[in-house]
Amino acid sequence: MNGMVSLAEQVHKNGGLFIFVYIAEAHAMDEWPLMSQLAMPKGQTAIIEKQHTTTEERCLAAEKLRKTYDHHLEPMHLVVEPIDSVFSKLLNPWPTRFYIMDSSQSNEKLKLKWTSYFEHDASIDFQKFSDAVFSEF
Amino acid sequence: MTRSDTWKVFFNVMTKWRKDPATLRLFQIVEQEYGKEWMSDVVAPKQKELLKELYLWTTQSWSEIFQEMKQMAIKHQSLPTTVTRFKVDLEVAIGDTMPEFPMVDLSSSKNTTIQQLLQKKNFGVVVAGSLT
Repeated sequence: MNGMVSLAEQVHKNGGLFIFVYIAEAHAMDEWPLMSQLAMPKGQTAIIEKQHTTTEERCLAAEKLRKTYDHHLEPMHLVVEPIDSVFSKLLNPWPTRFYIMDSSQSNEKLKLKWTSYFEHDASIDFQKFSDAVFSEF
Repeated sequence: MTRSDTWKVFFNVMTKWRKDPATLRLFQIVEQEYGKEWMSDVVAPKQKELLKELYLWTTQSWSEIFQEMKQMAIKHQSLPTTVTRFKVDLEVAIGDTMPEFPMVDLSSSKNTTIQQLLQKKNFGVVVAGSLT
């Protein structure tokens, strides 16, 4: 999370916007539980009991994320993807994915510039993504 | 019991084990000690142990039995929703123009789009994820 906050601050300084899109739960307890502590503040475990079936339920989960990270999310714009929207259908973000969108030519014509996903060891190379952001803009 | 039936037993036992509270606690311990290797350090050994116990894995290589496991999973197991969501490739290409992406802005609870949020910005970095 610290790396993401730092990147979000740099993106803001460079004339961009860092958007966190809350999508389907990665490890809901009723689907594929993990109770992960990896990205959580010390001593806390990430638990969402049920996968969201409505946008309202997803908004509640996103509120839980916001409360968990509090001021860390300030440099990011937090939005919620409606259930079964075109975003997930086209960009296959689950369980997590990073994208760079180019809006410099026209606001109407947003272009996908770059994306990163899991490496072979199921991690995301955050440094590679961060480097890509600032090599593009 | 046919080999195919034995695979059904394998998937049922693995699924029950995977969701057991004791297994989830084990994942947490592994996460704390090893960082991110819960899949390879906990799940794979359990798979191997059970495959041998059920005599599904005898003389084959791990890659051969793993390949058969994937085929049998598709045949016998209704795949977990999460597995069906996991897709490496995008349905669009780098450089493509994106359609409108409707979103709910959490700060105002109003509908918006990624495009609207990026008005007057040169670029956007979009991270998709969840609390868990």
